[in-house]
Amino acid sequence: MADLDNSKLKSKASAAIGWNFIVLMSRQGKIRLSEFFSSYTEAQKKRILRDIATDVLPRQAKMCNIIEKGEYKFVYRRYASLYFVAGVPVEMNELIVLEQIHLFVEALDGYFNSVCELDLVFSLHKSLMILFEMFIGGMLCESNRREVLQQIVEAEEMVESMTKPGEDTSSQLDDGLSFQEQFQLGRKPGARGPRGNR
Amino acid sequence: MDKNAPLKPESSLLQPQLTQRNPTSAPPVANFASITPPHNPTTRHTMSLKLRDLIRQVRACKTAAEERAVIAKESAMIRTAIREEQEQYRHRNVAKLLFMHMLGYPTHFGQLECMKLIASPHFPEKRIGYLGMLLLLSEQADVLMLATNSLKNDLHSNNKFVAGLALCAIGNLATADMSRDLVPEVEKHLGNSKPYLRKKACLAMARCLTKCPDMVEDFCDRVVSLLNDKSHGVLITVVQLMTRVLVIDRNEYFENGEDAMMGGDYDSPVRNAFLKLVPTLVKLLRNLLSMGYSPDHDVGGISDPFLQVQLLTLLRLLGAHNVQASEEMNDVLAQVATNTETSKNAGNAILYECVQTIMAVESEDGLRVLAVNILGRFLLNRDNNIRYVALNTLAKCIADQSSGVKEEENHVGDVEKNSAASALQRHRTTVVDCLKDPDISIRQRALELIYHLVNQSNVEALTAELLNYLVLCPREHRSDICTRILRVVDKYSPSDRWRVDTLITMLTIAGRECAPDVQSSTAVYISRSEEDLRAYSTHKLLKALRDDDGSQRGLLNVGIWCIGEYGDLLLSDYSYNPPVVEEGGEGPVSFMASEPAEVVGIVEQIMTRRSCPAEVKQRALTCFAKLRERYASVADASVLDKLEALVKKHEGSHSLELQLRSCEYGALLNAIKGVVVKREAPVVEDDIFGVSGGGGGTESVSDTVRAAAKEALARMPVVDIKLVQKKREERSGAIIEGGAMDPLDGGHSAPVASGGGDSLLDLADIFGGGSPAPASPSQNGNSSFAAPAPAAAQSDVDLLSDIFSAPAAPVPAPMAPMSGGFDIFSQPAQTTPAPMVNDLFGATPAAPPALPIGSPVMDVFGASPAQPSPIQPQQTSVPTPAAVGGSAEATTVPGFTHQGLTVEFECTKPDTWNKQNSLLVAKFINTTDAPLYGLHLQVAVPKYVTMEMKPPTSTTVPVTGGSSTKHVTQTISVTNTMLGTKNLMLKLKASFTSKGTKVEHMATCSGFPAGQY
Repeated sequence: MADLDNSKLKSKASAAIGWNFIVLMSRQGKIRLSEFFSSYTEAQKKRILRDIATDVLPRQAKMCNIIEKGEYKFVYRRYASLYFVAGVPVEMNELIVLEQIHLFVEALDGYFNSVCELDLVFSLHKSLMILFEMFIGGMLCESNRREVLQQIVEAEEMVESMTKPGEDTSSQLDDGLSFQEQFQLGRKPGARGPRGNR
Repeated sequence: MDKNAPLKPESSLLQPQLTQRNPTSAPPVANFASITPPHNPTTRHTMSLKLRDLIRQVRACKTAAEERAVIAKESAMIRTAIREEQEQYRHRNVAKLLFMHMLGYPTHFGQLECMKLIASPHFPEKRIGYLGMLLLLSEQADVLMLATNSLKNDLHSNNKFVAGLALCAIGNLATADMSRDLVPEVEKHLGNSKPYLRKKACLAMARCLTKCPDMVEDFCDRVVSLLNDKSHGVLITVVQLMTRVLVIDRNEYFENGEDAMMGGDYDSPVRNAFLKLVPTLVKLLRNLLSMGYSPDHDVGGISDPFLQVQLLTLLRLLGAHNVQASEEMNDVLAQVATNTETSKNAGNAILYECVQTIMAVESEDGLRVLAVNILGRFLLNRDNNIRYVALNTLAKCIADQSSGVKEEENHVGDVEKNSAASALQRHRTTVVDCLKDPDISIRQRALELIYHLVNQSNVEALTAELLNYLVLCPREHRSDICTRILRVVDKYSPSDRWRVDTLITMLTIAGRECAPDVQSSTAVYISRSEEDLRAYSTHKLLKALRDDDGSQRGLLNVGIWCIGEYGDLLLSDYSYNPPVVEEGGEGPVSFMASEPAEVVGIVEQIMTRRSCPAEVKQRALTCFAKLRERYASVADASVLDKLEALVKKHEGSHSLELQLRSCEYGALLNAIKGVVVKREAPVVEDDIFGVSGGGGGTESVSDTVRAAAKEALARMPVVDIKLVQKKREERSGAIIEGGAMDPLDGGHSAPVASGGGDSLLDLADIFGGGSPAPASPSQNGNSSFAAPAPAAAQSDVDLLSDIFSAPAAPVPAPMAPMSGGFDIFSQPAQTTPAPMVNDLFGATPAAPPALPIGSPVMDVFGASPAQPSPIQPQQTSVPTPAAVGGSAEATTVPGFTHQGLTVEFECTKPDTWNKQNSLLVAKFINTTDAPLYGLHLQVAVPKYVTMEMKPPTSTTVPVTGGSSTKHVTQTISVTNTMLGTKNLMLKLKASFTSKGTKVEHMATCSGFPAGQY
């Protein structure tokens, strides 16, 4: 993808679609999720993660949510203590990227019922499932978050139903936060409503 | 949707009395570390940690070392499990690896496990397997090809989730080979009855076509029917697929070198097929606009902004350079531009996309004005993101227009240009204010825009702003800004005085960071100006030097150079009254005269600073030597003695360059005084150049020597500014693309790669950076280059070698600076290995033997702009091609043939006594039916070969054969120092414009007869 975007041939009408990567980073610089849609070497990935920590985290609230980094730019949004940073080609519409990030967050929120950082830590695989349900190859696949959640829930039900007795496939991976952890978050444990209905 | 999925068994542990929120009593997370993993009755092999327990253990770690230990232990467990084939833990281990991967630990050992899970018939395992594959594998992973078969099977699955996972994997990871194998299955899913799979198939297809662009044409028909889909998910993916396909198609088209203007219209089956769909796309967009509230797609009161933006992007690609398509979309664009609600970000995103589309397609003038007004409104928005995109888009518009005008498409760009430019001028203050924004992104964009804003009338005000910004901006940006200011000043300067003033101010602010060519350009401008202005600059620089703390390297370089050159002007008062004193303008300027001792003191002080860079010290030595000459008649003997002492102080310096200069200048000063110092001269045994040093020293110094020495310290010749600008344009031309070089201009800009410096000949260096090969100014033949020395030098060869008491020959010619710019301060260390250096290393450098012997004189300057001089005599010593053609036997070696240009080398031996030298005459043959313009040949040779290139006889190659019999040629003389053991090889890079298309070609030429060349 990057190879296309860096094309030497530029016309008046340039178009770039699709993210190069998405990184979720906490205020403390801890990575909560990262996915590189374009192919990068390990060194490049490290560099990107480092750049995010140094460039995005210190930004003040009033500043714009775009940072140019040569071939790509960071477009980020902050939710509480978590930064959602998308790396997009320079020609891409930054404002719609912000909306796309928000769409993803809304989907996470709908799934986890008021999502928090700890949800993402303990249910990494679930957030990834949502990510891949919404974005393929960095391009938006579904703009309706209800549809996304419905499919996810349906797939999970299928997982549940297929789980053999004694096998910890689903409950093992899906147990999420413990009571105490929910308590720590100030969340009323067990009070989570049905998913995907918000 | 309505189902309550009981995904959290732990929520049943709910104890009502604990639901009260009490953060202070929250147990520390560390406690979880003590929880031992519950014993799983199904565990038969080793105890496997549950995922959540691993996460808790990691979270409980207080130090990074602790965390590493936990992970290392777990990694070992997982490896064991993998080795022992513990199938029941496979998915759990992969889930753990996902977590470890997120933390940045190596997980490659789990890749094969993912492959096994994908192949599993059990959906829960398969699902985790796919997740592992998406995260842990990269496109380059070898195991990925193992997945092809599993993917194929899964694509045939009746379960939509299984097929969906496979499509998702293809869309994210497929390689070219996989794409080719799986594309039939993906295509089948494009027509699937479930929108869930149709949309995923679209994006998977986008990936496949990106990887295998040659398949594009086969699939464009399939796309068409999908545009009538009801599902927004399918629509948005198919529109993205079409956009991707168009981009791929365009790149393919131009890479295949079809005859088309760059960025202009082109014709391809895919594009034509898609152009027919414009009305459908327009209808889609219109439906979206008129659609009522739909909770599924509503974002801030706007229905599906994602789809709207994608549609606008696609329309932009289709409407560009196509009048009919542009007309078809005109109305809907107007509708979007006027009716979109802008209170929310989503609306602004659409508007932003719409403006970009309006600007790019052939839209009506009224619409363009509307778009520019929207941008103007954006500029005043309080939201920084909106301001950012406004600045960005305005800069893009203006840049497009200026290049559009170059492409002679100004009939379209005119209105737009005027409207955009006038809108910009209206918002000038806003843009300038953006420079002061605390946000770096905004500042960068504003800066970019301001460069485009500058014109004759506002250059003074805007440059002042830029200088202000220079003070504030982060260090790493300063160099770039300096270069940009130089370009602006170059182009729009109202007067010489203002220009020099601005540049000096810039150096006082950012002399530390500015690029060497900014420094040399400043010096060049000063040297070119009137005597009055030189005096002014030198006074000003002296003052700046006095005030500076010695860290502004660029300022020191320029200042010391000027003081050396024009030190005599400092001795008188200077005052300047501007003809009309404007409001707020500068009043009269006056400087007091300085005493010679004072001037010397200032430079000395700079030089003795501990932090003083070597480069400045070298400059200072030159300065002292020159001042000694300038002040010979005016200053006290004490000052003169001090100057001499300063010059000679470094005769024992550890820095070879300093020592060299010190000795050489000392010798020169002695020569002027008529003193000959006998020195135990190191005699180079093998004097291959037949220029003898003539023994130690002679008894007396002749007048000619004295004159030559004086000449050596005289003022530098004035540099031809056109050449400097030319160089800079060439360089910036590489950045500003699409700016086709005027073939007429190209006439005297053909680069000449001058041999001599090893690093120059590094092949990678020449072709890697993409910067034009350094050009020697000699080709210009401009008489303003009259170098002072050669006349004297040539006749006084022997005498001069007396001065140096050493063979003067093995001195490579000062070469053109690497940067390709015209550098007054060319790196002396490389250009002037002198006798002593030579001696120290005990080796004879591979100097081009054909070099004029006069070059040592030039060397005395150390930093000399007068590179032409060594080459001028050269021209006489090398037989002209015509002469050679008649006398010697020529061998013709083919260079390359590419796109109608054939290059051949006619090789001859110019010197019977030195077989190492060869003369290659490159013959350019044009086999197309139109002339080739802007020919530019770059040649690189291996390190054992030295090379000298002449400009081509013309940069335009007419059609060969028929009417014109005269070939365009370019003479290259090479010296193979390893003749007999190694053969001559050339690496060629030619660029030219054929029928409006810029062509670049690289080739290697090694067909020279072995042993002879």
